[in-house]
Amino acid sequence: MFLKIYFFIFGSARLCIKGFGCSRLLGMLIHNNIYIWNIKPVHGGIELSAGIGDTEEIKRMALKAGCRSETVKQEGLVFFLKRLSAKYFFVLGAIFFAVFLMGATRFIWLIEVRGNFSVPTGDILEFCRENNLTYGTPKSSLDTNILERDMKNRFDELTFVSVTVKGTRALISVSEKLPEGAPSPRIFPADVVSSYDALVTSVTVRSGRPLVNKGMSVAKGDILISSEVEVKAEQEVVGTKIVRAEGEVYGRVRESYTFKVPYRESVKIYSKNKSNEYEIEIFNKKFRINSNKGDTNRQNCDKIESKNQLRLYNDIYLPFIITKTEYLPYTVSYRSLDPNEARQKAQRIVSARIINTYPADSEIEGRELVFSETEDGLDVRADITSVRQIGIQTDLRKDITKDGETEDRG
Amino acid sequence: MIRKRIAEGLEIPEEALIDLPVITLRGRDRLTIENGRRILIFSDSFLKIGTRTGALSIEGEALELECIKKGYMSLKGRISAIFYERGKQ
Repeated sequence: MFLKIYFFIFGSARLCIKGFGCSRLLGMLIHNNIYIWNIKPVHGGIELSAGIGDTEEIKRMALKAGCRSETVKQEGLVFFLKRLSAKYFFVLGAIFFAVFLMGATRFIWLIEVRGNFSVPTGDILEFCRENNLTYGTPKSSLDTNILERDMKNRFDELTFVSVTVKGTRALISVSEKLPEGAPSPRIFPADVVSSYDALVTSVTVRSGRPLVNKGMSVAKGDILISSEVEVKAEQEVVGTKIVRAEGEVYGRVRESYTFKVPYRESVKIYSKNKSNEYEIEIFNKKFRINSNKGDTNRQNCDKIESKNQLRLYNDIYLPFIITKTEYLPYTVSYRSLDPNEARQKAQRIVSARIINTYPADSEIEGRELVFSETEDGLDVRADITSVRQIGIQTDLRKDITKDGETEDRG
Repeated sequence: MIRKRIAEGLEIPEEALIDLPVITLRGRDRLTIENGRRILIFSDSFLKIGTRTGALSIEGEALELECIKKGYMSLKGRISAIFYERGKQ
């Protein structure tokens, strides 16, 4: 093992020895205490490995034994470095890159803001920029405690600010106050009120007094679960108290809406000659890598942009951002729809509306489409029957005290 | 003969005193020979070594000498036979 390490560091050679005196040569090598290994018979001779310092001696002995010797390969760290030294620019580039990486990891190359809703991210980043936290800020010059304190003082809406630096990324986590006057869900009393004209299909009450049962018809605005509950003492009602009514009331709702499908519609026809544009951003300077000028008219193009910041590892971002912009050129043409196609399009529009506007827990029981043809299009009336949650909490008052969860109404 | 008798009398291992070859075979693939003198013939199927007790022949396939030092050699390959040549002691 140690010999292998020794010969790896100081180098070894693979020699090919040919002739009739190979066995004699081996005897001579043993006699002279020359360490050799991996001795392999080859056609008309042997191949062996030896330390680089012994090769000349072996060659001399091979001549004595009547053999021809030839160096096949030189191995080891010495030769690796020697080969490397020939590749001057490669070595220089590798050293430069290593130094650059070491230097680049001392700066911040990505700032992320999380947890903000009402305070715009731009405002937070602008404040950070004014307070010496921006793209390329040295990590050593950043005092996160002061920044956290100042940010909290500057933005009244923030209740919590945390600035952490991981690798080359600064993560700003904030928590905001509830908006002024917003009811705290646990404090204010509320009724559950119907938001649709519906036929009740199920009622689940967690708090409050149910006013409707399965099978009852309700109108929009009707109270479904009342916040007023009776207080009983030994089966006798002694008063009432107001609570925040909670529960789920599902009902069968029939909704109608109308729309028009014109017989003439515009269609984008994409051409095959799409083009990509790459841009690299280094230290806030943008360089275009390639640009396809001329052949693509950028006015009638759909543009898809994707950005990718290079990183070494999890949080070690580098100051290189590659932006890929894909241009998909198209021409607009108009086509006519026959009534059949218009009907199919209407069906698709209704399906898309159901997917986009109905909550996931609602069940579509039926949909009816009534068509009436006009000169320029198809008038459609869609009747959709669904079973969905119809109750929404409606706050009764806002000036109740925090511990006033129970208060007599009368 | 004197050395042999001394070794027997003092209960010292004979190979230490009179250079007797020590042959160790591990499985079929690895063989070490201590106190070998010189290599007489070496090919990928046959190895003949001179020892104090006579010429030792080893037959096999894909034979390779892993390393050689004075008094020690290590052989690898698929070994099929190890035998001494007749007549010489």
